[in-house]
Amino acid sequence: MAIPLKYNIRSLLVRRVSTAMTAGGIALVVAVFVIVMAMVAGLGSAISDTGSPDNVVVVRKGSTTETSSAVQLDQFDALKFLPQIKRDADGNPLASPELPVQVLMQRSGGASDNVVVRGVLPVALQVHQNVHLIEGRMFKPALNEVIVGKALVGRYANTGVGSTMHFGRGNWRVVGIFDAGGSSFESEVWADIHNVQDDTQRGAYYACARLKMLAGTDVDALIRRIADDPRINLQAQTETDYYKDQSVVANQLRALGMIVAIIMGIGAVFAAMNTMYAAVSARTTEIGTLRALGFRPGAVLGSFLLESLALAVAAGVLGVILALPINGFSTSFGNFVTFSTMAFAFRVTPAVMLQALLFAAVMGVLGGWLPARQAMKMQVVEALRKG
Amino acid sequence: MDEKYAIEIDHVTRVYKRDEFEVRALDDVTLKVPEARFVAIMGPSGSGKTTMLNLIAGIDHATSGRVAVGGEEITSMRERDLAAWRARHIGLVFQFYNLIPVLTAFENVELPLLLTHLRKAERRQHVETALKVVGLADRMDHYPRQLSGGQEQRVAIARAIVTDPTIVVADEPTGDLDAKSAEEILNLLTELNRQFHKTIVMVTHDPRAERYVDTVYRLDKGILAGIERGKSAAQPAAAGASA
Amino acid sequence: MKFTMLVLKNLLRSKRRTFLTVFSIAVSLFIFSALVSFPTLAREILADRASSLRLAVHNKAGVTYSMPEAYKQRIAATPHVIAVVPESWFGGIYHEVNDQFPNLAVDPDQVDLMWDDWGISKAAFEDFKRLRTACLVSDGTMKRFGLHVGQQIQLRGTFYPFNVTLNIVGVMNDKAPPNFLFFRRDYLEEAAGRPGFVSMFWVRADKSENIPQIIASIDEQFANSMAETRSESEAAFMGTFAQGYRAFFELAEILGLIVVLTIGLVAANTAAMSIRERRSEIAIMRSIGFRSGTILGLLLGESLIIGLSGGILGCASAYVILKVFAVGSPAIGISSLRMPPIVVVEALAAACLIGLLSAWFPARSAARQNIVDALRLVA
Repeated sequence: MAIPLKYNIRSLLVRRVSTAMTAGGIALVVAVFVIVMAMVAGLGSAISDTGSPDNVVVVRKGSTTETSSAVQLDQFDALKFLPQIKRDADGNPLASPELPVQVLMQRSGGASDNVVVRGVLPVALQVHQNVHLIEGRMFKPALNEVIVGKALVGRYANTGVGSTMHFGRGNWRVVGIFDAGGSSFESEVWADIHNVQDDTQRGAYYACARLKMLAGTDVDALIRRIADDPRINLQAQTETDYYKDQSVVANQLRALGMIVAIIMGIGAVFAAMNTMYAAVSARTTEIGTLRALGFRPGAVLGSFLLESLALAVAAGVLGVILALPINGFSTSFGNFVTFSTMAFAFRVTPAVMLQALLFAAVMGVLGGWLPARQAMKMQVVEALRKG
Repeated sequence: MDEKYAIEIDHVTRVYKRDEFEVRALDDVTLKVPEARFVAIMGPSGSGKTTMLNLIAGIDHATSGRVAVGGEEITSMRERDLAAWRARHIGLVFQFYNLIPVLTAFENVELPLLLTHLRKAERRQHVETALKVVGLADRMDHYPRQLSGGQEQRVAIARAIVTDPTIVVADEPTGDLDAKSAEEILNLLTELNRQFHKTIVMVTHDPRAERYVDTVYRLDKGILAGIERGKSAAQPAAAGASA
Repeated sequence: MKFTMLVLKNLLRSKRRTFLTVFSIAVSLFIFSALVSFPTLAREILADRASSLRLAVHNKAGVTYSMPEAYKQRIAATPHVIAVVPESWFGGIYHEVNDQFPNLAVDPDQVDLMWDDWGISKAAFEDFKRLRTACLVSDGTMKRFGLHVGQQIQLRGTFYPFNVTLNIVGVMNDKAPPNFLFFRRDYLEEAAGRPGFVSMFWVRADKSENIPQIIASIDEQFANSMAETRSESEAAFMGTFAQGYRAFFELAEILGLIVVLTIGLVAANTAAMSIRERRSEIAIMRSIGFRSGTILGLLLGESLIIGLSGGILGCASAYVILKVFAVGSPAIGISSLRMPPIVVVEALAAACLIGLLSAWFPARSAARQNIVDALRLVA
């Protein structure tokens, strides 16, 4: 009972120029959508992939981030023997004291950025399970040796294994490169915590501690214990929660991106509407004939709606293809929450592509709706008279 | 003898508004067309003949009065039902052929069959038969722009008969054709009437048409002005023209 | 302008189509002007600071490294230096983590010499020098939290293990960043146990020509010491903050460009459609005696009006929305985003270009077509 689809497809192809330009417009809007969503996806995963649900971040009470926190040595000593903390094969607690500081590092191009140098002990590699050395070896204590996150390699000067980096108040030899699963750790340099303490001249203290919990630990109880114990008196939260709070920028960008895409989508809908109205107007006689032959008004509505939808989805596919090259393109931005530069890569995930096509489909339906209704409501006699 | 009528128009009036003006296209017209007749509705422009045709075809509604086609009263049918009824009972032929330009001759003829439940193979059969009847079986895959005016009209006629309708309704079928093609079309319509006993109602102001039809209904300014015998060679017996 | 009538009638011929076209152009230029305002505004603000006579001196290693406060005397002794103000970052929280604002501790004695363009009243300066617990607050922060002069507020320490209680003695506006808070460094030092280190030194030069020389002298003085310095003009210093948003600014500009391209396509499509439909009319007009050039002018005029209407509508909406929502970005120190005039010019120029270019080809061919051929279409 339906008007055959080939009628619509061929009608679209016959009005080549008009179809092409409308499709072009929709394709561009979809491309913008993909770019923005890919950026958000990339940012989101760089930030959120950083956190592990079985790790806990401990900072000073009232601190917002680890970079504006201070934990005393005795507090850490009291902390690290808590029973909820997992131990390694030798019985040592997987508690990693850390001192991340922002230092100015020169990029390959010459300008400088604030980059996080994280003072750690070797136990950090066991606590941060997503961090793996992919080249070279772990640094040895007290030798100003460092391992570099792979997102920094090539971007910043002297980041190859064996090179000497200049930051802070001294020289640091790169002995290894590490991969951190795309998380923000990949934009960091890791050094011996004592070297970092000496370099910043702020005395012997830590900024925060990362603890690995035993499976099945009551997290809330642990958090309360850390806060209430007078010897510890610190603030704790799971790593995943910690990084969620940090993603304020990513969320703002997602909101902004969606707004831009939606507003552009509205513009595209108007364009599609224009084209479809023109199509309906040019095919008035055809519509009258189809109705006269016995096709129901609903069939006419469905047919034009389908035509608009087909056009939009085809354009959507084109738009996705246009935007695809941005996948994997990595850049960095200044995360003003941590006050440092973080690298991330645009990620055109299957979810993003699907959302883009859905977006295109919605534009097609919205753009085609009113014109299709007009086609449906045409009086047969009037329509035929125009012939 | 109470013949069964293909078409019954009973005190039908059609008034419509054009901006602020009221136009009486048809004014209290009554006529009956017996089955299997080939008739023409003629008259000067503005006489209401196209309106009459539209009412018979069920694509327009009378303002008052009764219209029955093939025994069914269509005046009170809802639009949805009317559409289905049209598909089954009416074959339409227009002056400007009204073929869908992006569909081939085959696909154009197939269109009305898409409204039925026939399967693809069955549809193909009907289409091929219809095209054969009009003599265009070899041009099935041509697009309308690749056909001459006469050929296009023949495709349109094939489309009109492919569902085996009760009535074929033609609005100025020869209006846009040269003399030779016009003759061919009129002959074809006569064939359909003779061989297949199709009732054919044709609106025309082509004077040649009088030689082909059984009856001529003359309309003038919305009123039935006269009914004449056509000059066609074979006439069915019995009266049947007047009410 | 006797043809205005004709042009307008043509536009009103299909009100719906004109409306839809104008609207889609408006929507896209709305996005364009809003998007492009960000990077343009940031650049303007930086350029604005370029004329400042202030220099920032920080540890070469980065802002988290500090310098001994004793450097102050040596910096003050550098030729062409009028004033030196040591500054330490406190990083306290007033209300919640999410609405943090920069709060810094400075030495009070030369504050009026250093920030004479921050709209601080003489009385406020005096109070700041007199009262140990005094603080100066930017008007953006004042408005945001409903504060008033004379109020006492508390900042909770994050890095520092104590809180500070301060009395607001004055407001900062004019060229000041909209969200700052200054309090006294001697208060901070005492509470922190007199560590004797500062985050930064602000330096005031006598003339802008001498700035490069001052930079060189200061950095040379402290080269090879325990805390090497890096001095730069205020503009350069602020630039490093904006750097972080580099990627987004570039993205905003690219998106702005794509948006304009898209609109161009949309407008071109509609123009072509409407002109195509009127081919026979145009032929009749030409047979009456209208010249090709006149016809071209009429068609282009129509398209220009559509483009410009869309441009004005879109730009004006963006302007209003930005003002109403006072979108801000604390990191760059913008309290409320506004649309720099250059963006308005760019948007309207884009609108005109779109109007003209989109109709160009179809209008030209319609105006030039062979009259006889076109008249055949009239039948």
